[in-house]
Amino acid sequence: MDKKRLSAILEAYGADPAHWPAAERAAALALAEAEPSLANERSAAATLDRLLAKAPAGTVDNALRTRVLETAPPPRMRTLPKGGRRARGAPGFNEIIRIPSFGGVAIARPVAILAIAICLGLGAGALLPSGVDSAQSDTEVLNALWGGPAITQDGANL
Amino acid sequence: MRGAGERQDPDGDLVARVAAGDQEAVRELVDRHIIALMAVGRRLLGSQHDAEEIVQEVFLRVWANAAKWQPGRATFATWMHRVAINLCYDRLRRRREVTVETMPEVVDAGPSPDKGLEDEALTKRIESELQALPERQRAALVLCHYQGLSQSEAAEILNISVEALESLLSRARRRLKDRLSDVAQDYFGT
Repeated sequence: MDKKRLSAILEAYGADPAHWPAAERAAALALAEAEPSLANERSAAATLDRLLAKAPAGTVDNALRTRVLETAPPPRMRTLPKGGRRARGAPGFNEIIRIPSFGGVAIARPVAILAIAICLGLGAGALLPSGVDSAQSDTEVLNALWGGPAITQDGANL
Repeated sequence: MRGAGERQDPDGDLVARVAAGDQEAVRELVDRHIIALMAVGRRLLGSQHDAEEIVQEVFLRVWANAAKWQPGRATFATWMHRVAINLCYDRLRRRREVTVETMPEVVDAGPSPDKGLEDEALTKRIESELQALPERQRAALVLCHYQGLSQSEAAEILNISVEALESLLSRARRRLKDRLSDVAQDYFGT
């Protein structure tokens, strides 16, 4: 490190030793403090540093941050483990709907589902009030069920 | 196992988590770097609006490349800075291609006759001189002086040698010192 190199450092990097090349910093600082003839150069560099500090750095507001985050890829969906096995303890279809077997032969699943649907339909029909029959419109059925005026599709009362 | 020349990357684990879809990691990566990237864009381009677009574009590239990132010589932050600088260069190139008829009025960056400069006027003057620097000199100054990157990091981002970087910095500062000598006298009496 000599005066020429220290001048070059001040000219390129300014007066703040934090900006000086790391490998030369200690030697440059020692020379700067020991060499008063370079005080003017250091002062001029410091003045320019202070002026440069006035240049705007831009602002980051929440709107910008949000826009950036919104472009990030969405979280990945959790996938089932291999084999499609349920988690231990989770009930399967056969546990939820016990399918009876006749003579040791289990009823096929589609037949069971059909049978259940028929039962539900018959049950719903039995639950209808006596004043309602299947020939009535939806509006009239609602009126019979709830006792209120029928409401047309556009919201007007009948 | 880390290879020769590899350095520990403070963002390495975070980038891996971003690639895995970890939303908390996404937020953390954004919060770590968004201010620095904004500063690069703002000082290189002289426009808040343009800088915001650069920031958004950088992060789009981050999302697209996180899964492909491999630790190596450069850190992820260095890579992001390089992307930002290149995007800024592209934008500056497009500005130069604007026809003369549509060119904005050039602000007179000469010495002001009014010796008593207000802070806002001073800021505008500094920014004007900064924007008048050749873009490579400006980029070197932004990375070293403002971002506080080391010489080797800045040189790597600009794809030049440390000697070339130092030359760019010297020329930039010499020019600014010369152009701002009147302001220095007004403001600091030096």
